[in-house]
Amino acid sequence: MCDTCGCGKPGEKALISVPGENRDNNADNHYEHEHEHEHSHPHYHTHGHEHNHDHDHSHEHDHINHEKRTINIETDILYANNLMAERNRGIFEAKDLTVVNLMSSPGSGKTTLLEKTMNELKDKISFAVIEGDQQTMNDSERINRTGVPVVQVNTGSGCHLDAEMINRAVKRLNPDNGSVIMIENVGNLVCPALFDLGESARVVIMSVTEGEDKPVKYPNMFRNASLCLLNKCDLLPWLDYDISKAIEYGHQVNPHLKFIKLSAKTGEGMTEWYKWLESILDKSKLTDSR
Amino acid sequence: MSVVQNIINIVSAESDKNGGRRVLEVNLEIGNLSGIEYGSLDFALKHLAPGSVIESAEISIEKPEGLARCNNCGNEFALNDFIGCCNLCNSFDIDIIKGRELRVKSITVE
Repeated sequence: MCDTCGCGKPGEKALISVPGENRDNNADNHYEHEHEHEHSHPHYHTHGHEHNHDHDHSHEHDHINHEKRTINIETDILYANNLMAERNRGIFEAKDLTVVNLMSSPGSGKTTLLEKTMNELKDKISFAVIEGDQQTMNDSERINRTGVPVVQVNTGSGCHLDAEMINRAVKRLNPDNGSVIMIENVGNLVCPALFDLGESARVVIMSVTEGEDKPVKYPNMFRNASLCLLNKCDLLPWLDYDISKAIEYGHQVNPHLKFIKLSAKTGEGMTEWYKWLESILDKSKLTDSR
Repeated sequence: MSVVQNIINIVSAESDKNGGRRVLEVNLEIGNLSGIEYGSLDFALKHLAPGSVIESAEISIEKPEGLARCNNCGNEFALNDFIGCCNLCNSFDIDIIKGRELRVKSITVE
């Protein structure tokens, strides 16, 4: 279950599929569900002081005096995800992959932006895409029509992609060495920010129909991104949107956040986005060519 | 991967290493800038604790206050939000140095 928003079912595993395959026959993929727990009385408190619990269970009480022992653990709770993210980084380094994690709220134009980027750059850059949604293959089918290799991750009731899902997806994708992997995360400005996928860079997309104060409302997301794409700029004549205010809010949360104004629909500003993509591709190649 | 499931996994692994003794207390350290919603965490703990290694454990959460350092003037100041500007020089160029903790600190077993 996601503890930022309470969604998701315990033990539920994400489904990974490729457009065109028969999902019923896919033995690798099935939603796994834990059995229902019997609800005993939970003794659960958030206070710091000790309680004497009155147990009304049927088990026998041990009357031998055990000495209580405190064990220091000091382990990060997202340790398992972070460990997997580092394993992913190892795979990405070995295969010389540049990985971009695209995040935004639903409806900001991530998929349209990706479609356009694939269609315009696929002859120059070797791309592969990982699509994340709760349900349907709709987005992966749109990318599939561009001819770029794609896998769909369906999280079921989950609200974010995590490192384990990306690990499985990349193995399924089996991209060429030197490729750029675009991860379209689940539409959500809250939870995806918490989960390191092993990416090279995080890009947040904000559309001008969303309100200038998105960055201060969702600071964690904007703080951890290196680029913000301001999409749907073709609609500006019909809106009261103040771009400089949006950029100012963004810089309050993250002074180093770069902004690019664009329209995936008309093509305005896309060249700058392509230049940025090419620059991070070169950067990862530079560190490898020591 | 859920945060609570990870807590249970971490505690379970440690309890196994110590002869499977009953876990009495779980001490978490979750800073107020960790991105975790304490209310949702309570809710998830209530639902996932029964039947698990932490079902009879008392859960305590230490909530370290946020602390930031200004990259412009070096000043350190308290922070309760992801957005903050230095209280000395008003720069927004800050690093969060405390408050992002999300850890299982310790457990107490029988």
